[in-house]
Formats: sequence, C-alpha cells, structure tokens
Amino acid sequence: MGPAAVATLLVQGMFLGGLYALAGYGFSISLGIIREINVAHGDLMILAAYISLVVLSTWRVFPLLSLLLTVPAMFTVGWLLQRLLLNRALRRGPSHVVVVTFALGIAIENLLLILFSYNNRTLATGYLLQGISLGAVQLPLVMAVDFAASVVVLAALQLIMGHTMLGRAMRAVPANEPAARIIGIRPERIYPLAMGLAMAVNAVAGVLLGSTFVFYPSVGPDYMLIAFGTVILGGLGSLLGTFIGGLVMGEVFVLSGYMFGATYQMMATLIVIFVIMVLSPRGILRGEIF
Amino acid sequence: MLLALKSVEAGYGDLRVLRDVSMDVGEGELVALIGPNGAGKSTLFKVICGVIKPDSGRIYFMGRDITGLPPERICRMGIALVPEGRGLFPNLSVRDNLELGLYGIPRAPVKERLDFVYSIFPVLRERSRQRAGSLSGGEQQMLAVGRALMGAPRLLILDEPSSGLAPIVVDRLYESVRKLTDRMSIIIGEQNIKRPTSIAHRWYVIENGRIVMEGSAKRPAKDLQTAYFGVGTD
Repeated sequence: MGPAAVATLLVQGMFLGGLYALAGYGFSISLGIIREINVAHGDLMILAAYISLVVLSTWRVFPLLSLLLTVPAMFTVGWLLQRLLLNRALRRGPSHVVVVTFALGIAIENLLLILFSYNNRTLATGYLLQGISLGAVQLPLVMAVDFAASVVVLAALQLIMGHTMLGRAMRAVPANEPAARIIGIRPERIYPLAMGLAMAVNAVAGVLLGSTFVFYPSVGPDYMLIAFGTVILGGLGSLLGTFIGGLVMGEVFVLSGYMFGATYQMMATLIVIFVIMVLSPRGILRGEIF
Repeated sequence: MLLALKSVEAGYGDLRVLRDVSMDVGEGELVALIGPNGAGKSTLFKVICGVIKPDSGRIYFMGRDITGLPPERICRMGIALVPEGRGLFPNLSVRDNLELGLYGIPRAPVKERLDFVYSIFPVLRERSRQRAGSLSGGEQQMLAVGRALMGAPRLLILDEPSSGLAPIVVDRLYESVRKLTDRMSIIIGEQNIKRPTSIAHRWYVIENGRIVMEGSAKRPAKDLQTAYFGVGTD
C-alpha cells in the first residue's frame, strides 16, 4: 500500500470525522446545556434530510441552498419540542426525557415511512459527487464540503457560546442553576433556545448526510449512536471535544473498514470508544460544561 | 424608603420559615441583618429578589409593590443579590461571570461597568480571562460582589459575604463595601455581630424567622451582644 493510498484513507477519515462531529454538535448542546438525552436526535436529523428532499423536489436548486429553509424549520421544531414537550418531561426527571424522545423517534420514523416509503433516497447531485484532487488524494467534493461545514459550524457555535449574552446564559445554567435564577436567567426559557440551536445545527448535519450517503426512514438511530459517540469521546460539554471525538471516530471507521472490512467498522469504532472511556472517563478533553 | 417589607410570611411547602417579617431600608443606608444559621436570612433575601414567592405580606421597592414579580423583573428594577456561597459559574471566565451581571439589561454600557468594577476590585482585571473556579476564596467573593455591581443596582444584598474567608480578607471586603454606600443602599446578612454592626447604620436581629430586635448605630453593639448571646462575648 503506497503513501498515496494511506494519505487518501487518512484524509477520508478526517472528512468523515468532520461529518460525524456535525452530527454530534446538536447532541452535545442538548446533553451539555439542557442535561437531557435526546434519543430522537438521529431521527430528527433524518427528518431534516427529508424536509430538504421536499424542498429540492419543489424548487430544483443546489442541495445546500435548501438549508435556507431547513435550518429555520428545524430551529422551530427544536424550540417547540422543548417548550411544549421536553420541558415538562424534564421537570419529572431526566429519565422521562429518554422515554418521551424514544417514543418521538418511533413516531418520526413511522411518519417518514408513511410519507416517503422505505426506499433509499439521496440529496446528492452529480456536481457534489464529482471527485476532487488534493495532491495525491482523490475524494468526492461533497466530503470536503462536509468537513468545511463542520469547521464553520464549530466556529459559529463557539462564537455564540463565548461572545453572546445568550451563549453565556446557556453555559451558566448547567454550571449553577440556582445562581442563574438569582441573576434573572430562566432556565425554562433558555432550554427551548438551546434545543432550537441544536436542531438548527442538526439540520445542517441532516442535509449533508443526505448529500453524502443514502438515507431511509429507519437510519436515524445509527446516527444517534455516532452522535453519542462523538460527544462522550470528546468530553461532555466541549464542542471542540465533539469535533475531535468526531475525527477519532471517522479515522477509526475508515481505517478499520479498510483493514477488517465493512462488517466490523462499527464494532471497531465502539471498541475504541470503550477503551478511551476506560482510560479517560470524562473524554479526550476531560470536558466540563462548555 | 427604598425597600419596605410589610408582614412577610414565606416558607417551603408546609414549612413556615419567615413569620411576620417587617423591615425597611432607606436610600444610601447600610443595614445589617444578624441571625444564626437557619434563622431565615437567605430565605428573606430570596423573597426580596422574587426567587421565592411570599405566602402573605407585601414588598415595596421605590414605592412600587414588587410582591410576586419574577426575579428578572426585580433584577432589572435594581436589586442585586450576592447569594450565600457566592453563586458563581466556576467553569466560566471571570469576565463572563461579570458580564452575566448585565443579563436581561439591554444596551448596557458594558465597558464602563467593567471599568467601574475593576476600579473597586483591581485583581479582577488581572484575572479576567481566568476561570472563576480557579480564584481564591476572597477573589471569588469579590467577583460575586462585582457581578452584582455590573447592573448598577439601587440595592445590593450580601448574604454572608464573610463565610469561609480569612479575617484580613473580610476586613478588606468590608472596606470595599462601606465605600459603596454613597452609590447604593446595602443589606448585609451575617451570623456574627461585631463586624457588620460596626459599619451598619441600622441593624435587625432575626431568629426563627422573626425579627426579634432592631437598632441603630447609636445603640452599641455590646448591648446587642448581651441580648443576643445572654453574655457579653463575641
């Protein structure tokens, strides 16, 4: 195996890792800020891909342009979901959120099944699937776009979290909720905004996943597992950690696929997560809440 | 009167913590609220700030009835509480903690307020990029007070500011607090008597949720000590 082939694998793993991180950011936000496990995270991501599919079949535009509608739509879905359903579940305890979102995931899957059937779909067009050359490395353009989008979204989220009053309030609530209330922050108003933000990011993830791979109504839970992996690998509550966690998972996925075959990809990835969690239970960046 | 409490009763569920509490604070006044652990000081402060709703009684601030208003409205009207245990966000930077003192106050002059707080507690400027959790106890208390000052409150409430601090650090903190009285009214809740009554214009003693004694700077603290402990010791 020549150096060009190795470089191709490594770059492919990195690009795929960027996409995995993109799937993880939203999960990182809901787990880190709202402290709830959104089991329907992957299904909501796939929902975004289907919304984009509908947009694109109505207006035949470049796939990424559909984000102009998908992102605000998913922000609204996230906001409403938290405000109407999950805030109430959360008041009864975190395990209620798990149960409610588990049911929500099943509902979304079946709704998509009724509306769109079980067929594989993709948002990709010929243009995005064209190969590009980075030196000796040859990869489809869409994967480079995935990675670039992941970096841009990470930078935007860091900006929001670090330099806006809303971002500070989002970090303050999980750090010390009673104190947050005393200075006039109402967690039950912050949570819907955080979930809206998480789902806006999830919309980007869904559209890019849908442009990179095929998708079908029941594929959501696979991506939930990947999102969960990136977050716990990187360290809870650190978005940079989620990015790094994504890269690790992408590399392991691609390299193990090359060495052991596609059957063992997911298993190898989960083993690596397991080992890292044993060695460093708080993740690679030993995160606290943002 | 800047703040007036009229027969406030409050508690948690069936547990009645405050009984018939009436007190007032004038413009520019420094008032000490003395009481042992569990007397109801923190509950009283949370009631004033709207975090706990009183069961009965009224609270007036600048002549307006604020009873039952949500905390964010009361904060914006100019009451800032430095809670017991400081209420900092340990993983956020000093600067972020300070800026959160302006939460919900649109178009606040951030730079000006930061400079004001830094002028009172210069060490916070040096540490502005550090995590709040990495500060010493005294610095953390300064940060907690500094955050409350960001919103330029009319009334500053300090709940046991001296707890867990070395005496010399407490002296410096009290000196800074005393200097603030020309800008705002202040309530200090403490368990000990000597220090707060030495700088306060007036004081109240709270026990088992009732105001059992009150007095002014003219009534010597020695008197209070005798009444409070039964003996004249500190």
